[in-house]
Amino acid sequence: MLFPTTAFAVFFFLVFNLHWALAGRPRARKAFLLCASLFFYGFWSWKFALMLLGSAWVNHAAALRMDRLGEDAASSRRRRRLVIAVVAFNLGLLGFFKYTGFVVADALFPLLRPLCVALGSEAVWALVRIQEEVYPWLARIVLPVGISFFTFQALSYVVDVYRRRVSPARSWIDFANYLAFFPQLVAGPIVRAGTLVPQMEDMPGREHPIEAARAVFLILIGLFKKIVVANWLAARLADPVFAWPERFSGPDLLLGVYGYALQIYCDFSAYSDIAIGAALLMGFRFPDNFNAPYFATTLQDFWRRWHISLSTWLRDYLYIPLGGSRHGARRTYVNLFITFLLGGLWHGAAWTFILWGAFHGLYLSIERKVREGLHIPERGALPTRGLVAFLGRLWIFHVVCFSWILFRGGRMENVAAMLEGIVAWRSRVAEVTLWGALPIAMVAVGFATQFFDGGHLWGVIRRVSTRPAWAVAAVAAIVLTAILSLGPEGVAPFIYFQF
Amino acid sequence: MKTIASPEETRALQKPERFATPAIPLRRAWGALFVFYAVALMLNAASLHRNNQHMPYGPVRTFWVSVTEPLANASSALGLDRPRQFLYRTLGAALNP
Repeated sequence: MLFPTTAFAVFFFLVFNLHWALAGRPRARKAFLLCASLFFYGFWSWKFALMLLGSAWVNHAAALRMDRLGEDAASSRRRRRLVIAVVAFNLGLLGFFKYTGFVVADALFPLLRPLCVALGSEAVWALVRIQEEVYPWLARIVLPVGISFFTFQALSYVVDVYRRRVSPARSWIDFANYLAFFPQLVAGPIVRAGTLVPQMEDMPGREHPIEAARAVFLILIGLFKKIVVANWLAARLADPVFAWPERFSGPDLLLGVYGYALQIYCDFSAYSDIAIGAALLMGFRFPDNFNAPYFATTLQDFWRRWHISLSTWLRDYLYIPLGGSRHGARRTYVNLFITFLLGGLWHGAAWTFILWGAFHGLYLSIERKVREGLHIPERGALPTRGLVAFLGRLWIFHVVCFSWILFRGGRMENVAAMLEGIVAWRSRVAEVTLWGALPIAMVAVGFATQFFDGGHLWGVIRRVSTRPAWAVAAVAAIVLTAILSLGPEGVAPFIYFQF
Repeated sequence: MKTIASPEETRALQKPERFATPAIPLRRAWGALFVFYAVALMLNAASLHRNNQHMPYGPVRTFWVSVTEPLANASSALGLDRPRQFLYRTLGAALNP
């Protein structure tokens, strides 16, 4: 069930009403919310909804067991074995569904082929027969929607319980509601257990005021970014350019890359905005997930603004456990590189995603080395205004755009064709060019939507919220109508659904 | 659940005063939601009805078409479908030819 659809509008209307109608009956309310979230997820596949329930049961049972064990040496060893087992369970689930095909078809078989050729024709025929058996089986593995997100949420829960940062949820249903909560289940934000489980345990009562103005604002902004901006940029700029890079000139390829940079920002931040807004209407608070990422002056700054819930998760559960910056400069660069390499792999099972992650890890390491060499402190020392800041933003925007070529390219041949066309600044290939007033305007509008992030328009929201609620609602419905009339027919899925 | 939230997590949820947005009582939010859905439905009923007519034939389509047909007729009679048609003709069609 996609957010910008009539089905979701009807679903949310029913869930919102029943959620608040059941405010005086906590147990029924929690059961209803879990059923609603499973219905939302089961819209894609009821089997995966059962898998989600099973994952919730395993993770919560492990957390309870870990919490009951003491601090003596034997118990500590048992706790450690248990956390390793449940982390392996979660990563195994993710690995099976997401990476089996990649490991077998894109890593193992390409390694075996030259080996079999060296061994002779019988080995080659044996490999061919194995491939004929394996490929149909691999094709039957369907990636559950949102598995990367809810797996990371489950991992953060069990690791935080192990570290004694949080105690286990009071009941299984509170944890299941945390894991399966429909606004953020499919494409984030990755909310920590310490943030959302307490809200699930003590759900807001009818006396709880609703930040309705902010919620409606976020939902409308999200719908505008997705329906009007992201869909247009995808259909008119990014998809054609990345599908047939050989047919476009250098300037067209560059515009296509800019288009994709804004498409992925608008698409992904739209989902987060709608998720945060929907959760707010139900009385739950999520942290922000984006903060005007293309205004970053360094790549480190970019990762504090882009997909904040993922970057902080990688920092807390990968970078810091690897040692962070505590073991000298060289080890820090290695830890950074590994963290972002795995971050790239999280996004997708393809060499281009790994390359994308490796590029970010390498650039961050170099950036850190340069900063240390120039004795620039980590935070607050770089200007945020003026020519230096502008040039820094321009540079980092293009560094990130280069990395999007790796991210979106799909196959290495495509990436090479894109880069070749841009670097050679290939002259016009066909009669038609992508450059025009409307494409430039849409890219500019996409860039400008960043001003909705980070509280820049809180003053507007406060002024709007002083008006009568029914008037604000009517105006919001008119704005929604305008958004729908500017969008295309049909609904394209959100980009991050594939992760 | 007992938690030891990091300063970052606490900051993320407890916005400074300048970022605090006013909240309204649930009853008013509830009423506002009904107004929102009612106005949105009347302004977009015709388009909804057209989309439902494109669904695959079957009981689900029959149900939803029977729901949206009177709404679309009412919206048309009151002229409430005209704003969306106007916006589509002037801007929407240019953006999505």
